Amino acid sequence: MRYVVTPFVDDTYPGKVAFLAIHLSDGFQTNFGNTRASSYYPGSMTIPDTLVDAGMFHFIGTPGVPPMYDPPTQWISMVDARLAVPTDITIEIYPERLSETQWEFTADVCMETTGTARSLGINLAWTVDDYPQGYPYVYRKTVRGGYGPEVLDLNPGECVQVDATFTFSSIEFDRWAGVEVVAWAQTPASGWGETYQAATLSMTIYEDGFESGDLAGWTLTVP
Amino acid sequence: MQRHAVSFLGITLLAMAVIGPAAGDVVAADRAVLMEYFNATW
Repeated sequence: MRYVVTPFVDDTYPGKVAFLAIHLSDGFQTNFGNTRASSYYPGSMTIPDTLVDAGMFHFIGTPGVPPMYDPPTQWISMVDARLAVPTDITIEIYPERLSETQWEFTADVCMETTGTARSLGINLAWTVDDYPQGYPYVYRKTVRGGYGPEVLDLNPGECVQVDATFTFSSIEFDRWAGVEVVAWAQTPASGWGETYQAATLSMTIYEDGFESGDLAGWTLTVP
Repeated sequence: MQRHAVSFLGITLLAMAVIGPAAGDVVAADRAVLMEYFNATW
């Protein structure tokens, strides 16, 4: 099976890369993704087109040797360069199930005491892995929706919280282990900017609601 | 002897106060990188 996005997204940098595959003009686009492509970044996005940390690096074309794009040497060099840059921002994502289909995700964004006070554009989005299906390629981490940017001021030693409510459908529930929530903090203005920190939350551990303490979906009764 | 013990405790606390911020500077927050990959099925 050929991959449009290689296992790079999970295997090369586990927990270190927040990956958003934003589909354009193919029936799998989203309002959030379209806005990122057409309004946030100047000019038009080529397909394929990769932006690292909101414009710190911009790479047009396939990242390695097609058709596997493996190893994605262009991506690796960009990620390595960004991982080497210190940051003063931390992000944790906290989930809460609101109903059968709705979840609220809170991005807890904090600045270290040695940080520099500034405004941040905070975003949340979610992706579904191996979606869409039925094509010659496997599509990884496809963006299904998002929220933001919510612009907030942050001072050293402080934290701010941004809430986003996402409504899931059978597309998510049928691939629950492949659902991932991403949060990031970046420069607030449109245009080429910088992402200071990102975080991911896999929904795998919330598969049956037990770990979150929500047993609404359980049907077993004690005899 | 009691005064020595108190004095030692004071030095220890002072050392912790000095070392604390220095350690915080060295251990910066781990960074995760955001990658936005614009693509299509066609």
